[in-house]
Amino acid sequence: MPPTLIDITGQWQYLLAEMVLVGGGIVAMIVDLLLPRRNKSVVGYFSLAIVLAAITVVAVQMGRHVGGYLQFQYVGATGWKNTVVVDLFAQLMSLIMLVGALFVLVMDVYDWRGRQGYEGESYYLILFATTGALLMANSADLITLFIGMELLSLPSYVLAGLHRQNVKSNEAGLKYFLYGGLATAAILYGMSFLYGLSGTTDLVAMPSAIASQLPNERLFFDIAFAFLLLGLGFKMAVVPFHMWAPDVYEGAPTPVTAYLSVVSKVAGFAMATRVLIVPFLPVVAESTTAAHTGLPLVTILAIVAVLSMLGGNAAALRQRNAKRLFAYSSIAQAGYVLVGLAAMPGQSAATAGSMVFYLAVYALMNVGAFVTIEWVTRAAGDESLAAFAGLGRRSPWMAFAFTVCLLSLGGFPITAGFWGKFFLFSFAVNAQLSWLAYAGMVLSVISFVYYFRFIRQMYFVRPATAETLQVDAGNTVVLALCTVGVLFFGIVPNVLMGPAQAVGASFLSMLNAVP
Amino acid sequence: MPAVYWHSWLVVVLFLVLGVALAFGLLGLGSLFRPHQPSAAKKTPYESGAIDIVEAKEVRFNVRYYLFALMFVLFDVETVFLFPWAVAFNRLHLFGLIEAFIFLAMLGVGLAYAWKKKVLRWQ
Amino acid sequence: MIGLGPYVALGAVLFAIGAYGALTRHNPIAVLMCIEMMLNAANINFVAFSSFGGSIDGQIFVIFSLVVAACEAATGLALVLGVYRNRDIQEIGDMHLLKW
Repeated sequence: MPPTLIDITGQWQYLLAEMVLVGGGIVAMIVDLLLPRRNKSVVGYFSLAIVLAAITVVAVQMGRHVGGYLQFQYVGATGWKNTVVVDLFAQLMSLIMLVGALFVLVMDVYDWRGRQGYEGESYYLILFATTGALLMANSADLITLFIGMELLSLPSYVLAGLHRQNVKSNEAGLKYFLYGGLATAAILYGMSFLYGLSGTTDLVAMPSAIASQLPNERLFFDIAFAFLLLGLGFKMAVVPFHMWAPDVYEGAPTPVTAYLSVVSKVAGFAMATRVLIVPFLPVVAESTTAAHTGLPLVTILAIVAVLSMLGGNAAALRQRNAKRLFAYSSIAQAGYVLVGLAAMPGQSAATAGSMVFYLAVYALMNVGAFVTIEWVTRAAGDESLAAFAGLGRRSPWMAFAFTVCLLSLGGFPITAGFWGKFFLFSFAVNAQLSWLAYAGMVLSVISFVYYFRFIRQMYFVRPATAETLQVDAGNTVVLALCTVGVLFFGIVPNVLMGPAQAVGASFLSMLNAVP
Repeated sequence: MPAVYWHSWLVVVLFLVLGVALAFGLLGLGSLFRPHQPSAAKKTPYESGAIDIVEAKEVRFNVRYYLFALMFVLFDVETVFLFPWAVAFNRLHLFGLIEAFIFLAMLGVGLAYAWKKKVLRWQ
Repeated sequence: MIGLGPYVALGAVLFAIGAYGALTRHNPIAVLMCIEMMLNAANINFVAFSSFGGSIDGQIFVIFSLVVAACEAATGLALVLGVYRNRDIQEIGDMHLLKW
């Protein structure tokens, strides 16, 4: 029997958050078309409400332990195919991305004040992009994954180039598009081999299908892995695929930069886990046997991680532009998360949890930092580090919050960032990658040098003006939430690490549970 | 490697050789018989008709042509989804109908956007 | 008849040509065309694997990736037009406001 509406209604709840976002986005689009030019911030507040509704949906589903697969059947065929999976991993990643999108929307509403341009578009493009990001974490099928990735990418290109009168923004949009398009092509090509080898696009059925093919076709697995790593490396912005990031981060409007560095990055890691780790677990397992002839996949991931920590931190040292510095900083941050990704095949269950923990904390501290950057650079009309001079005297609370976020990004003890790095590196040691963990620790010390340059500017350099900064209520709440979150999870990390640890177990069930 | 594998490549090589041989062979055969009298008029892009004023790469088209082309490509390609839907329509029941109309409604919103932004009007 | 190998080889050749073009051409629209070529190389792979592997998923994937490619082309052309309108730019090399 083909699926009838009645058959499938019970499963639609697995896509409920996405449907809320898409439906809300379309309504926002129509409202925006009908509104006069002055009142576009209404669309922004509406979008905020939509994202809040989606957060509620995911939270309620988590509370009720809703989980399972959205399945379909080809007409005339028997057997069900998975398209969407809702497990704890997907739910936690969705929550991180939705909260990130919520904070970015608050920044965006502020950013558009006193500006002309495509204001309404920027709000609902964020909604559509977030839908794609959620799909990347939720999908149990290569096709859904690919569509989700593009649904995130295409609005992101437009968002980066949205300030049409600003030449830098134009260039950022075009560069992001050209590099992103290359990455998409590489990912699609890699996926085609993954499909050819396993004979299915179903990610749940894939590992076992791959395990049966393995000894004969090892070369093609390495090809698939190489192309997927190339493409996903672009999307996650890790060295040596990071060239676009500094340019795009600098040229894009600041809220969009925050969006790229938080939501896009988290979505990239969610997708990497789904497509670069889980299907290749049998391949990695085969690598430990004596007979294998393929590439050392885990070592390659580890090398990319070291390169990004090294390259990101080293290049950030000599940056003058705050947004550009944060581009390199987030390249280095992606390197730390890659440590978790590289440790995953050896230590799957626990490491998935530590990765989710770090990404959640990263979202908080990076959004907090970008809120401050938005305020300061907008008030000064200057994106260089000098704009932060004397902030400690001009706006002490803001300077304090920014300091907390910076220290956490560097991994200072009693902040959440410290625990995030601690968990990641200790699981790397457990997965026989001690050298990687030591490299990560040494390289993260470098990062303090450039984070302290901000702190030096704020507390030890005389400001050009003594007036306090203009702030708005929404962003103040966001910054306060981020700072309190970073401190709270720094003091009691178990509150977050508890649920994150459970991720591993639920997430691995994908391997053997074919319902 | 099984013999069948190389056998399949043999077909490809055969096609390549035949294709190249056919093209060059026919052109070569023709050059044996045809008269060869070059003149300046024969070298122009359009032997009869308008004389080109500027180099081809200097010609600039109005941006609106691109916008129309973009609109066309998008709506043209979306119909790709409607063909399989129409073929399987009988067996998709109400579910398929509702799905297709949701899809069309989304396209309609896109069209409304283009309309409101005056893409459809030639100024 | 022709086996799977030649199709995959054709895909690989197309992908390589596209990648070479995308990395060497200086005109953004040419780069865009090369990217489309790379996407189509993957599509050839999908159709070939689907036809030889017996599952129809690959052909469905191609429909989706074709549509995505069209959307990508539309987005890309719009961004290129945006840059052209503001500045008289012919080549990627002329975009030097942002540099690493």
